[in-house]
Amino acid sequence: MPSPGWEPGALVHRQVRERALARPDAVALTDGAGAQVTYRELLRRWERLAGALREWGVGPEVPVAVRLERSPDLVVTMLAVLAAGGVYAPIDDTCPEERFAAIVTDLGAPVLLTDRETPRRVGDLVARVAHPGDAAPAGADGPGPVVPHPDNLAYVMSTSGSTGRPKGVAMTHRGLGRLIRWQAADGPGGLTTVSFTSPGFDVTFQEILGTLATGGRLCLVSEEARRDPEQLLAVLEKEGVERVFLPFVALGQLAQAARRTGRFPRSLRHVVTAGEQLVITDAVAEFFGALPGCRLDNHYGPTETHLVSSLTLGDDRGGWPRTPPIGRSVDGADVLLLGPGLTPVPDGEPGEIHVRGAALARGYLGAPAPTADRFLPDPFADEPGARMYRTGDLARRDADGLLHFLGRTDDQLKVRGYRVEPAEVELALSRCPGVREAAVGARTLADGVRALVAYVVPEQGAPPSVSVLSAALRASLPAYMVPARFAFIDALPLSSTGKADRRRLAEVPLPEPGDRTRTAGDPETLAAEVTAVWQRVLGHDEFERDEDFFDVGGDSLLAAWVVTELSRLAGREIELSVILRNTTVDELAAFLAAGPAAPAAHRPPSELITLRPGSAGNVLYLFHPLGGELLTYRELARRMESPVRVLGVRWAAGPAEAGREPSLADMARAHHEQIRAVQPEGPYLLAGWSFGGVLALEVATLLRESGQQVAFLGLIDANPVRDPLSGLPPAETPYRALLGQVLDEVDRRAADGEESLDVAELAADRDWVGLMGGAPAVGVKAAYLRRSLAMARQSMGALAAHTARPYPGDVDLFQAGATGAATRALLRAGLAEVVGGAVRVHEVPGDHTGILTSPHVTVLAGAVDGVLDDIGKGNDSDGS
Amino acid sequence: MSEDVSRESQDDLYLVVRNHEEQYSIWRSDRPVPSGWETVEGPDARENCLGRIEELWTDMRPASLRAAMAAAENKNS
Repeated sequence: MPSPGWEPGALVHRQVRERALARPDAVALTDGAGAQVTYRELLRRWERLAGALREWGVGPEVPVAVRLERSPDLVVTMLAVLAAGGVYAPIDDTCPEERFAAIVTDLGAPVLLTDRETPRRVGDLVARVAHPGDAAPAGADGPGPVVPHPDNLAYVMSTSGSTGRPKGVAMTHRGLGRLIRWQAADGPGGLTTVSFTSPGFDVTFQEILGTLATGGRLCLVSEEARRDPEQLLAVLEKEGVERVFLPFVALGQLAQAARRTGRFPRSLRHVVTAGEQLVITDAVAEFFGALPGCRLDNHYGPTETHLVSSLTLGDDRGGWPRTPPIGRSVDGADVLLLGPGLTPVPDGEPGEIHVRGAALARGYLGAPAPTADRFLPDPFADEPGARMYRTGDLARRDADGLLHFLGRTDDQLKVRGYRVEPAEVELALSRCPGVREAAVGARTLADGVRALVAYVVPEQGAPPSVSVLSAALRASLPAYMVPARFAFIDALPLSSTGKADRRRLAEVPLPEPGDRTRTAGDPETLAAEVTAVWQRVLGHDEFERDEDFFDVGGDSLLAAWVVTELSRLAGREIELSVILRNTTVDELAAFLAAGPAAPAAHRPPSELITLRPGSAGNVLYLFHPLGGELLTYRELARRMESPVRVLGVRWAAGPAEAGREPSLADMARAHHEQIRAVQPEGPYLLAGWSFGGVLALEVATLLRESGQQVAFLGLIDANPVRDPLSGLPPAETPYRALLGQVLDEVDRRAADGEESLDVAELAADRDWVGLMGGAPAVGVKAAYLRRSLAMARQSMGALAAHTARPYPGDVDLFQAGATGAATRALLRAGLAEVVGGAVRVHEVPGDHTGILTSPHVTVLAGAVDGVLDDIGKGNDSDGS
Repeated sequence: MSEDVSRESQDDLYLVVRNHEEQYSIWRSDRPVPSGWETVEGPDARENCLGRIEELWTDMRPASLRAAMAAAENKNS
């Protein structure tokens, strides 16, 4: 198809294909877990998926909805959709169901590619829901390949819309092609690049396609590493990363982490920041001072045009301005600065940025009026009929021709790099019960974090609580659109035009998380300090003091980190379980204020902790795995929907002195005693993962022996006679020796004065990490690691010496589907030797550790729910 | 600043304009229509013009793309 200045070779996926054919054995992708994908394999996988997409009706102008974690599958999918001629339409990971459904409806996509379970109401909107790995090779009589026209759409990106509905920016192959072409010409190609950006952000194309089109290696990082700058630093060093694209906030955090740890990733050569005003803080200046070979670029461009301008900061690092300009326009994106009446402004004067050229998106998908409103006739064009995009951004051009960003002409906000239309949040707020009126703005909070703030005029009577509002918004908006602070006011101040007066709103005092005038050690001061720790660990400040850590993005890894930080803060060792019992800032502050607990004379070694509240009449007990702790169950407890209270059973005594180690039967007896103290009568519901399952089985035996009924015994990839990873008898596994070696290494380093350990390095052999139920966070104190490793080794010894007694009841086995078929059969046979009743097998996708983490934990939770629901129904019918 | 009131007021009148690619936009009626664009309707209030565009612009693909896709379709069938 003829098109001036264009040839099919300019299609980005074609460029990647050429690279793949030229160097098929080069590594295209690596993930943090050591997996790698060559260009040959990548090409094979994306062409197979592209063939399948063609058979499913995908072709030019046909969108494919994509909801995937950052993974090789995501990269395969992006390339496959482009190669099938279709339109790649990623949907934000944090998007709640309602919004997800609205976006899928607006797209009209026939296919949704996803790696997680899809709510039925969303699944019903598309003809096909598939996993990218499910594609069968295309048949010979299929529709065959297609070469998209440069003006066909390449992708659709959802952005916040002022009408209360997200807008889909529809970008063409021409626009994407010029971006990647510019990127390739702008610096050395083939750089090892981290994939950091959320798939719903357009920088993802620069990372993924910009890297693969020049034959570089793309390094995918885990969600944990994205959120934890110290882990990200470790990944950058370990993987020898050369290039990274970061929003300014993340760059600032990375620089602070480098300063804190003294670790600077020497391999870095190119840092690109975009999304909001770059600020050269002291930490950022220090970071680049320590990396003289690393270049820093500041990019500017709205989604409607993608990249518009770029600035490479100069060699004179001491002379970097605190707020650098956004540079000069790049190829394919011409900048006009226009004043009132669409007249060009003189240099130095502020004007609104209008962009023209190949960069322009086609418009907003299926939205003619919003498109016509922003994509205007270009009165200065050489080419008649050309359009320009009105950005709403203000800038001035200095004497050197550099553009300086000055702000917005309208209300649109930028928070953590995300674009937020306040009207969209205000509309969602106005739908919350108890809200009469609301306005939303962005404010810079203490410590320089810019965050969304809601000003709420409550209905008369009972004002809604912050946690209720925040939860309601979280159900309809992505996380980044949920305000971090809520101020309740009597009425909205109005401007002369009758609109909310944002200047006066910006002066409304905000409820602060802590009052710093108090003395150290009182709950208020401590709450402020705990808040600061949470902000550091979570990477955001969008939580209230009464919100649950695990509801605002916390997980077990981050919890371990918080506890490490709190120990540092309190100057004493704080147990990991503290954050399970004290899950809010206020509770943690109160705990710290209460001071060190007096050592109890006879503290029982078994301890129960509420993992999920619920009806006290219906309790599911989850037994600790090898390390004695319960964090590993947090996800499972949260995902379960059965009306049960979930209590964790933990080994509070920790590892014993040599020669005084309890046997597995001793441990089970202690747990049995504790459970009977809390719930004297059955029926009991018990379950456990790995070692915890063996404990649950032993406790179930004790309960039955004392005449109690066990209604549910769930073994979650657990087996009393064989190790669930290797299928070997517990006494023959190599893991105990392995843990011994790791312990020796920890001790050796502690003796060398290393207080915090680089777990990433210690975890090079990941087998033991799996046994522990996941890797501890970077910077975990040696004392913690030592304790949990020693406990794990002790438990393993107890298991090896244990002989399971025959159990006459029924058992539900939740077996990891990723274990080899032969091993799985061996494990079932082993279980049948011990269990006299029925063994019901529920297969769960994922490996031994993976079944407890996202996304597989959802399947596990559903399977456990299913069994518990059946039991509940049985009880009901018995009672009636 | 809110809603660029500095530049446009509620009373301004607009035209519905269209280019050779059959892409629509709006243009203030007191300014000369840029070359390559023709007036379809108006002058009218901005909201009315946008409302008309919502009705008129039913296929947002540029005209040249529509032609190219139709040609490719014919060749294949």
